[in-house]
Amino acid sequence: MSPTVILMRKLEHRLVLYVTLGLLFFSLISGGLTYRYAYEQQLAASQLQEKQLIRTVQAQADVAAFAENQKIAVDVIEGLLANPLIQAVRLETGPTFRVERGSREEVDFTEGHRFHLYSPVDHLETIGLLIVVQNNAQIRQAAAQQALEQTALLLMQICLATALIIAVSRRVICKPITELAQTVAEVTPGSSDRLVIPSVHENDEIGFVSRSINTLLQAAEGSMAELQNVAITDYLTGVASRRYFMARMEAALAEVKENPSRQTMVVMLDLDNFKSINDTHGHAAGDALLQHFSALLRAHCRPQDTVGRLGGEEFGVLLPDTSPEIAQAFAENLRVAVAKSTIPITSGELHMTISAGITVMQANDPRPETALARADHALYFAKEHGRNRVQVEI
Amino acid sequence: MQKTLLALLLLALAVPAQADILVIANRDNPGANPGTREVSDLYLGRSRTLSSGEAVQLLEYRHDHELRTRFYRQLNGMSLPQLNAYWARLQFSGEVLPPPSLPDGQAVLRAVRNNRQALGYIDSTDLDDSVRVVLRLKE
Repeated sequence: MSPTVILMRKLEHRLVLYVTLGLLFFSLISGGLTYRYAYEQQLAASQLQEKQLIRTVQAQADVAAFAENQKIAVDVIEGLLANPLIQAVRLETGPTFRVERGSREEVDFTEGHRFHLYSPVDHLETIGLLIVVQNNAQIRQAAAQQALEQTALLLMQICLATALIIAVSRRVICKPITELAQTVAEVTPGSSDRLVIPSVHENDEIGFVSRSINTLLQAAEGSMAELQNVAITDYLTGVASRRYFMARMEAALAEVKENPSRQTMVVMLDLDNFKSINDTHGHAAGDALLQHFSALLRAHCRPQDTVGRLGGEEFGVLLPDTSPEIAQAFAENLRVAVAKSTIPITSGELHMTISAGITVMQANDPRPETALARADHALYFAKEHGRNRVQVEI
Repeated sequence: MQKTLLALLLLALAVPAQADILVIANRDNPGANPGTREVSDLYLGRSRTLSSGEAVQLLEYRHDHELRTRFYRQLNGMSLPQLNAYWARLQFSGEVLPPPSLPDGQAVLRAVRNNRQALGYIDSTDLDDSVRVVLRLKE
């Protein structure tokens, strides 16, 4: 649970980090562009404003120029300078009449905007010029102000949108992922556990991931079952492996210790002279013998009995709730059946016999191997006494 | 040719109602010979002396005098409202005063006769030989 939480925090932090960096970059560019745009806009606006201003003083300026009246000219100029957009103004009719006011700094009137002054008599004859120098610092400041305000507004909107996106993604992406991770952590691979896909996520990425995980679980379950089968089965004969047989022995011993009135018989079987047959006719013939025998053996067993291959040609049988007599009869029947059967091989057919050792699993047996050793001892006795026989050792 | 001239003369005599306007000066001021433009500049307060540098005493009619309207229309094409607006702006400065105004042509004639620097205008029908015509503004 805690690793997923840390992961979530990291994802969220990264989301915030990247969005913030992107935001910063974007707002820098946007600020720059807005400033440029705002400057152009301010410049155009100030020029329009200037034109409007000039229009309001045109008649007065015309008269000032016409009559070359210093006082009226000064009035006109002062009126224009009252607007912070205008830095300096000059009104002139020629070298003899020139009135200028404005910033104390050196002003370049050749850079100024020039407006013609007309005779008030016919409004056609140009009698002078009004030269207006704009306050560029003021315009730049206004543009910067405008850019700053617009960028701030934009940033605010983007920040809100980002917060919204983070909140939504937390709810729509991070939360389902966390929940999915938690559910996956609780599933046991190899079991029949599967993820339940909520209908909300039926068709989205979460559903897709969940289905993929379920496919994986399905495959895992199959593989595990196969592995388990391999572990408990002898590949050649299909009977239980030694390991599984010993596990069943252990369980049987525990049952006997719990309930001593129940009799469980342990039988050990061995193919007589298997080694020489194997050497004479080859491993394929040996394998055929083993398979033939194990098939016969299983045919003689009840469903509750356990058959295992303990070694090369050595088999064990666990007979629960069985008397020594029945076990002996079982072994005898099997011995006779084996001795009577013929096994076809590529070079003809073979005959074989088996020996058997039988014992009772005792409640005071410390380990399953103890009972097995007794059965093995009986088997040894049978072998020593001519093979193809059954020996019981209680 | 002679018939045509005669016809023109008759035509000229046949329109007596509104006569020309005459700009007049003192007989003893032979240097005062301003052109239309100069008279206009003087009457609009643009210049205060003649081009010769001589001082001038302008004579004007009262505000509502019929001759005044005609004078400016013929002199420089300004209408009465235009003229009033112009003076309103110029007088705003407080530095320039419009010429003193007289009630009628006789008063103007009298003033020009008595003042060597005077310059005035009259209807051509009021003209007598006590003054000198310096400019004729045709109707």
